[in-house]
Amino acid sequence: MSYGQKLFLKVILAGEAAVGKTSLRRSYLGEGFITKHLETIGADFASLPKEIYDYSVLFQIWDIAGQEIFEKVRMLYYRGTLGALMVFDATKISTLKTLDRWVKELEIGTERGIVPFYVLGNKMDLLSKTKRVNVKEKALAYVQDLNKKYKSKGFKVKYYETSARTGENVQEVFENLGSGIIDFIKYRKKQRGQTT
Amino acid sequence: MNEEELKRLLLKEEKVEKISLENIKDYYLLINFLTDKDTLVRVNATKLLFSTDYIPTDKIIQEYLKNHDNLIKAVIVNKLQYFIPIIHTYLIKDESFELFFEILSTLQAKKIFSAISKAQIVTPVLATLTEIAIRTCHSSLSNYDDTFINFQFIDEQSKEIKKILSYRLKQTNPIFTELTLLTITQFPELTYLFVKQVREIILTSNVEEHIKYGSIILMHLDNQKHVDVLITRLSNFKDSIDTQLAIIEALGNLGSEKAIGILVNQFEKGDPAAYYAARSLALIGNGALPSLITALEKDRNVPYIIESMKRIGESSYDYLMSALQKGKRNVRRNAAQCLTLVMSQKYGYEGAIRLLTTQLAGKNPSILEAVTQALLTLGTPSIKVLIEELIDDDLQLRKNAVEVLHYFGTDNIELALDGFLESNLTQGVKLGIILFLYYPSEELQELGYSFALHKGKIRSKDDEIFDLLTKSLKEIDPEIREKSCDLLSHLGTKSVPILSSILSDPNIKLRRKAVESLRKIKSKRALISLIKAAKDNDDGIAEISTRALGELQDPGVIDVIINNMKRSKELVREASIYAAVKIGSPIVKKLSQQLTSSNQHLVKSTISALSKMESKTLELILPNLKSAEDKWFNNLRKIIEKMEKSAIQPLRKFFQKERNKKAKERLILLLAIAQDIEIIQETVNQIVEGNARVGISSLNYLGVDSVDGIVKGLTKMTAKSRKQFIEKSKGLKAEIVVGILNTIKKNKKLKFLNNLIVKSHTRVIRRYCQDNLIKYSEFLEEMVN
Ligand SMILES: Nc1nc2c(ncn2[C@@H]2O[C@H](COP(=O)(O)OP(=O)(O)OP(=O)(O)O)[C@@H](O)[C@H]2O)c(=O)[nH]1
Ligand SMILES: [Mg+2]
Repeated sequence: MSYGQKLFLKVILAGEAAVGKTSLRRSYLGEGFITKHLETIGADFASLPKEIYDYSVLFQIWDIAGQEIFEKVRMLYYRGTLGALMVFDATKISTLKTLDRWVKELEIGTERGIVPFYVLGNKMDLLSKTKRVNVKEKALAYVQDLNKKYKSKGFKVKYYETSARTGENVQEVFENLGSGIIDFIKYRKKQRGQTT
Repeated sequence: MNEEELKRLLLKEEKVEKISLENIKDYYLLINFLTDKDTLVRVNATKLLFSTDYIPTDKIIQEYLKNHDNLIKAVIVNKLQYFIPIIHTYLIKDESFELFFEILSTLQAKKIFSAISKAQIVTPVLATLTEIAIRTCHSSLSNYDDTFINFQFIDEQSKEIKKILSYRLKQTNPIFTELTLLTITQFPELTYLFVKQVREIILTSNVEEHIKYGSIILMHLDNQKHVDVLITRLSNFKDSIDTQLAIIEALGNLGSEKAIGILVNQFEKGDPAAYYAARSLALIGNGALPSLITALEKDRNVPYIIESMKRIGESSYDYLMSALQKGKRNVRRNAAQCLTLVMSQKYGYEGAIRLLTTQLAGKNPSILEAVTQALLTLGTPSIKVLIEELIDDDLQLRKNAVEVLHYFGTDNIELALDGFLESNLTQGVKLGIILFLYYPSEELQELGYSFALHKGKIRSKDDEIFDLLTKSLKEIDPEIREKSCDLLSHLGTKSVPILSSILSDPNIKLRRKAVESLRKIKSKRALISLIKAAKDNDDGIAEISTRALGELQDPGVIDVIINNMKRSKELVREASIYAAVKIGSPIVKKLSQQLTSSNQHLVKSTISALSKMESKTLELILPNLKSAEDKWFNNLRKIIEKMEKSAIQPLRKFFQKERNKKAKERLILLLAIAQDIEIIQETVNQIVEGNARVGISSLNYLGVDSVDGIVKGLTKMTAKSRKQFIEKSKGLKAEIVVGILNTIKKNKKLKFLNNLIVKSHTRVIRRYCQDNLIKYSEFLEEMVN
């Protein structure tokens, strides 16, 4: 079987409808940019083998539907998630404000509590420089709150500016999340070692 | 009125509205003045014209058509509402279209529509016909939201409308065709009037918009027979992607199965065409499923197939399941992939996994491969379900679950279990236990064990865990049962009944495990079971349960323990000794009675047990000294021998109080056995007083250690006593005698006694010399002189 004995890292893309989750996944996998919003039904899935540190991992990227009608099924897709990208549309600041709900879903849905995640301001290609700074300020304030909340959970929330269209930061975000998850797993193992 | 008269009035009259026009001729005169050189004449002519009930709009328009006069044009524009009822007739004639089009194209949709609205009051039908005529040539009105066109109107005026639209469609300028088509898309009732034309356009036009709108129109027709033109268009033309998307969407909405083939082909184009095709296939529905399944043969495009099936929903499952079982290899593999995503729509993620894992019950290796692949795709959430399958009643399923778990590997399994520690401890512990019990490789068993236990205790004591272990205890595999027994010990008293029930199992190893666990639980509730187990024919079981009984320190088990001291296997006897010692005082009395038993095992065990107990327990036995038979006393001696110095304390305590002669003698001997040198004086006295047997044995027990004491005694004695002692002490061990000789030899006062000693103890001394290769004469010389 092609999977070998790889470490499975299930990663989820979450956030409101049309913020660009599917586009980011496609961009990471080199599948090209589509200007149309092909709304995701339930969830879509892709996997990619990677080497992180000295681990052979298999990224299992789940890109879930942002539309409200899928809210019920959505919870189920979080199960087993080890990391998440919380995406908002930088041209629509309201999508940052609702990220809280998605973070909460993640925390409940993984069935293992909160896991490493990053906040992504997407569609940066559409933003002027000043607008970018403006959005960044808000996003960083939010991220700071999150870090306070999830202190000593074995990871740090970070903010990234991305564009699925230009590919800005897309590779970095996934790769950094990968190593963030590995660190998190090691941290958990150490913690377990202390209590078992 | 003649021309001059009218002009005069127009120039003079303040209120031109008062000029009365008598007949149609007057009106025509007035129209002529609309183009007069004099501005006042023109203005007032217009005023007058529009103040009357009858406005000869036709005449005005004809005038305009003749002269293209700007003033008349202005009149038409300004008083558009009056012209609205007739404009449609001019917009469908070659000679007037251009001119009117020119006028209208300068106007905003809002203005035109407002005129139409006013005209509606008097001539609704004609006004609406004009709306249609303008919509089909005026691009901003064509998109205007408000309208007077409705179903009833279209129904009643179909002939007129058809005239307008047919004319428009025949016009060569493609923009008019486009706007006409657009209009038709906006009023689906119109569609039926132009089917033929639209089909023709789709097959021939090279204007993208025509195709887009045409597709929509055919879509509205909702008649599957029209898919042919769409299919032809899609396959034969290289239209832009947007146009293709429109056709694809229309094909889906028409729902004809004829389109399935070409739609599946669209997958090759990738997004967005492929995505739209997937959506359209879903609209076609179940009919598309066989082709979608066939498409799974190619390893490409699976995501689009999934997209379609996700949307088709329920009925996909049956097809996929059947493909999973009967399809070709690739189909099977991809079907499994699809199943995971498609099914999760309905059954949820975990439901999908469960459904898939039920497929593991089969034996077909290719299905297994496919399912495995799918489960791996679903990732770690599958692990939980797979571990749970390890306890399924279906053994084949278990076996295959093991196989799939093997593919996941230890790291992923560990990761999955780790998750539960945070959120659902019971679940994590349960899975750990299942792995420990059921997984065949040691590595994972250990991993499971480490999740189940913490500091030797099961971390969750939920009923769920108990039920799981109770169930696994009923497995066929004895190894699983043994391990369950083992784990049950961590659940405490709760497990006693179930473990007890195992004690009647024919499997010896299992019974042994059960007893071991009962022992670990240390609960008095297990007493009866352990007593029963202590009588088990298997020595191992008897051993463990006996030890366990001892550890419970319950006096009620004394008989059982004593009984087991008689058993032939040393193992069991050792356990009984251990148990007796654990029980201590309460067993001592009964145990000491066994010292006279004829059963050698029992006697030996009793001696061993009593000697291992705390010395204080001796106090419970010593009162027997007075009356106990010799056999009993001799065995007690063996006990004291083993106890050595630790027995001294209680013996002395008794010795000091004891008045009974026999008891006293026995105590002296016992103290000597216990190596109490302080008893030497007493023993010496015994000898002097004629009770040589006790004294000599006692001294012999003490050995050379007694020499100093004896010499000390001799020093204090009268000469008579000394003589008596020396003569009556025949039987003392050689080393004691030699010791005395050696000591006295250096003592001036007592030196002389050596002669007597040698005389009285010649036999032992001689033997001593022989044994030590010393010449007797030389020895004598050394000692006596
Ligand atoms: N300019 C620009 N547009 C983007 C970017 N990312 C996504 N889009 C556009 O945003 C729209 C939505 O993108 P999707 O990726 O389909 O959004 P989604 O979050 O997956 O939406 P759902 O599946 O409905 O939840 C599409 O029209 C994309 O072309 C970006 O970085 N820049
Ligand atoms: Mg999406």
